[in-house]
Amino acid sequence: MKKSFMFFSIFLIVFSTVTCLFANEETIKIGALFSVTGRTAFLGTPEKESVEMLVEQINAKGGINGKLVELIIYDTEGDASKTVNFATKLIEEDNVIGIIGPTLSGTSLAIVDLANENEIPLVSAAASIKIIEPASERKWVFKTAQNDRIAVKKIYTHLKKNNIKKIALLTVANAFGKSGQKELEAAVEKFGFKVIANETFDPKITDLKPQLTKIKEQAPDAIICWGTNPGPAYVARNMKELGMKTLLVQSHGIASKKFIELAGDACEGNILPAGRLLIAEKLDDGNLQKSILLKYKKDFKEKYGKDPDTFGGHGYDALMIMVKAIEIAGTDKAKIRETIENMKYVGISGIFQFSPKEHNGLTEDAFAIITIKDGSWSLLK
Amino acid sequence: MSSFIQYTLSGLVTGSIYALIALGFTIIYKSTNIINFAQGNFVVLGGMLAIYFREQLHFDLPLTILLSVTIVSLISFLLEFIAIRQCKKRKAKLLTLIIVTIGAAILLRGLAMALFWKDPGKRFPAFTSDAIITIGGANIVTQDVWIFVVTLVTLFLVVLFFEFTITGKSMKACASNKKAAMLMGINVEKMTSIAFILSGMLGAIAGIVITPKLGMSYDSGIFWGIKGFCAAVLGSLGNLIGAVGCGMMLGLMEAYVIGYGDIATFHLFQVSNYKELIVIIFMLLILVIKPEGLFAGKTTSRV
Repeated sequence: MKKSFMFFSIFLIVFSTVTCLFANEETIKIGALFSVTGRTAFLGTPEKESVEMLVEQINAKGGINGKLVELIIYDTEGDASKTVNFATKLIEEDNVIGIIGPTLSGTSLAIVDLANENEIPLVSAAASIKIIEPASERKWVFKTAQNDRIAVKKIYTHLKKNNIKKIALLTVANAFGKSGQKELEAAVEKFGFKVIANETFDPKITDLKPQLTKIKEQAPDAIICWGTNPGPAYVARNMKELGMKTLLVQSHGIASKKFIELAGDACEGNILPAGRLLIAEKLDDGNLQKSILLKYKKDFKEKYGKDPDTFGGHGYDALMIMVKAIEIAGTDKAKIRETIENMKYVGISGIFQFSPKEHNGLTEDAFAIITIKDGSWSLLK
Repeated sequence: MSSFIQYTLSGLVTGSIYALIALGFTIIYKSTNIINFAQGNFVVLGGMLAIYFREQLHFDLPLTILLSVTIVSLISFLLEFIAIRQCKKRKAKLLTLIIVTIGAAILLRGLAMALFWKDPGKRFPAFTSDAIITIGGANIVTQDVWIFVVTLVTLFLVVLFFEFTITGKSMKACASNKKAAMLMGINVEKMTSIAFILSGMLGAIAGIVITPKLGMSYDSGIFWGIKGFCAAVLGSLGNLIGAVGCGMMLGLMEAYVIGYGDIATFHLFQVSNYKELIVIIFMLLILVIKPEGLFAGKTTSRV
């Protein structure tokens, strides 16, 4: 009895000293803002899971330059005002040296000025090009998700190659859809397409048959749908119900297995531009990304028991870019920013080549045109 | 022509959904004068429970429907029993009671998120099949027929209940004059409970029939609630046939605005992108001209 008590006390003493030691040791604090709950949780949750996994891996290897990484994650719930509050908290109270996220275009735009004013490096995981443009005014802001503009370019190039002339646009009425619509409209002339219908639809689930019936009357060669789940899945399903055989082009916003689950066999033959993560196994061995993609896929599956999606990759890339910059520049914020601005990094979403003018660093090569075949992704040659 | 039929059919199906939800609002209003803003959340709960039983526990369809409807009616009953009744005992005003239902709506939304899942738009397979039915060049799926039939049958049963049963008539009496009803020996509390149970049932049924078609997300409650509420108000709150009629009308209006809005305005701007706005303007216009709604009967009524 006495012995066990002594044992226990010794354990306590040792334990508390160890914790003290750890607590005293300086950590590298990085902030993260993801919409882990709420309507866009399907984007933020894989990001959070990916970065948590990554931090574990980094710390298991001894951290960055001998210092452990402490990641402070807040859930923005996809709400812009909450994002601003949490970003302020990260900067003023938590004293982080850099922020990754937010998940959405809307929430990212809400804090770009905050990042600039406080001179803190921000690596967003959202899509809209507005987040980083113009780069001269967004000195401290970078982003990992592919720009809508290059997604549009990739789609249009593919359609042009396949002799498509008349297209119909069907976009979701939210930040992602609006930005996509703008880019789609802007590039039409250059590629010489004729837009025969340009419809938007409510992100809340509704019946899209009236819109599609109208489009059907005009008989386009292809329909481009720009949105995040679940809307685009209903477009696919309603098209099947209406017996429409028109080629349906989706955006990279649906690039997760959930889309196939929601749309079922109605999405067979849909094509979309997406990062190479979805088809990592089918890549040539010479591909620079292949080993990274496969490792991420394997680690994620082991830890969470499911396949990662491209959204998780945006979070992964954001943290890796920050970590790589800190490895080189140390903890000086200005130096971190400068390092990112000149970095080349092979990541999940593509091969990033940042420059003072280009704060996304991805070209349309970051996308592959992927088609859905037998309920799975496959590369369209 | 086939496009016109397609717009009409799509509109009628969407309208049926609105109608079914509007019926839930109407029943509670008809017997208590309360507007239950948690009605949309009953729809969500019904749908999500059905997905849970059907997809995750693999129950068969009748059992799924039975369980989901029972659970949602129980929740609706508890909402009345725990919150509304206590407030009434403290002589709360009608407005307070309505605000209580808004609180309940927020609570139910949170519960749906915490207990179930956050993924938007999950669904379970259609009742019978995914077969496509072609009518005059327009396509609908069998689930659409289910939605339409369920709405009409429900309307029929509810009207029967209110017009031809003692309980139904007593419930109407409670709303029209509570004191008089009590003097006539009607148990007002019991009638209120029945009204909430009924509207919980209707909400759950709506959720179950639309989920195979449109999927269900934990936060769709507000959306469905507003649509149903609009239909109920247009149909002169408290009028069952009005609620269904205006639900259908709202659905048709949305479909036609998308289909013909551009032509009607000579392609000056993309009308279909402002569908919600245009429908709301129409609705306000109707209410300005006829504030009592389209289906208002005589104010003096014998119950």
